[in-house]
Amino acid sequence: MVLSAPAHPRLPYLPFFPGPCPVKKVGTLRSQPLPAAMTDESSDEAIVSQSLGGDPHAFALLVDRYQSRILGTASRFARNRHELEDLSQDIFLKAWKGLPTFKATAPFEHWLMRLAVRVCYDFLRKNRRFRENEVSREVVNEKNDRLTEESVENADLDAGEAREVLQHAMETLNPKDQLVLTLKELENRSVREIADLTGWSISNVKVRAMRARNRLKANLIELGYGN
Amino acid sequence: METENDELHRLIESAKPAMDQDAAYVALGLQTRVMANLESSSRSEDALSQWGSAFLRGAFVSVTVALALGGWAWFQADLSVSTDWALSALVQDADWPSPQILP
Repeated sequence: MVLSAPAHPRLPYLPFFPGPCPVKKVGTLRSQPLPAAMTDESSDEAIVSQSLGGDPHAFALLVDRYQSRILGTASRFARNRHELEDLSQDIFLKAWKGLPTFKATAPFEHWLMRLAVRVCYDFLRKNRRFRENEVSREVVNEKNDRLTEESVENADLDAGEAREVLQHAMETLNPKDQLVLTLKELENRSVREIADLTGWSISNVKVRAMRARNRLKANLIELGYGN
Repeated sequence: METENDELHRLIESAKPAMDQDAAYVALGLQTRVMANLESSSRSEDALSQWGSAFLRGAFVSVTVALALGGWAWFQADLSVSTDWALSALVQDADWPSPQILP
């Protein structure tokens, strides 16, 4: 007795092998050419609805459209190219999976940026313990000495060194402080924007930003940068 | 205060070009990598959902068969008990002569 038809062309037929999932999955990839109507000028909403139909080519347009903005934000959180690559891919992968939750009540860009900030925050939280364990106390001390010497010898650090100093000082802050400082100081976002992106209250953002800034300054002084 | 702000600001502005450089580097081919990632993720999800569905189907069939066999065994056992009980009741109720007085 045949219980089910061969489920998948790539897989062998077995009596109890499952057929296609009865629940229709939104966002499942299928290879089909991009409809002629879908162009670079199409609205985000049109592209999103095409993507929701399971068209990866439509989603590729969104990736192309927003990758510079996503990379602009993610590059402020990642320490190197590898981390940035992982982080940006993670953001787009989560965007693809989360597309069904996008309600067109707000622009797609806002939705995507909120998601990106959430992924970056998760990234900071996940990597905190790892980062703490990654560098031993000895290495930290050695690094501090070197950075102190450099800052004393040459107040004008090059981009790589300045980044290293900044990251080193930031890593001692908790993830929420890092998030708010990165958005405020590195991305020059307003308090209202940060509140919108993080879902925190405006007063919470203000207070946290001020405290985090003071901690960062103290850390920089400890590193020998600033007075 | 002004000096401190300037100093922090200067450090941040000095660090930005290195971050922008990384962003420009990663931007090359990001779209292709993301799409390849989506393809493989979707494929593994499909396989997972198919195997999950197979597992559920197998579990359902196993439970059904087990219930059917158990039910049949219980019915048989119950029936034999009932038969024994009926026979013993029949024997006891029957007004047959006691074995002792039989020749």
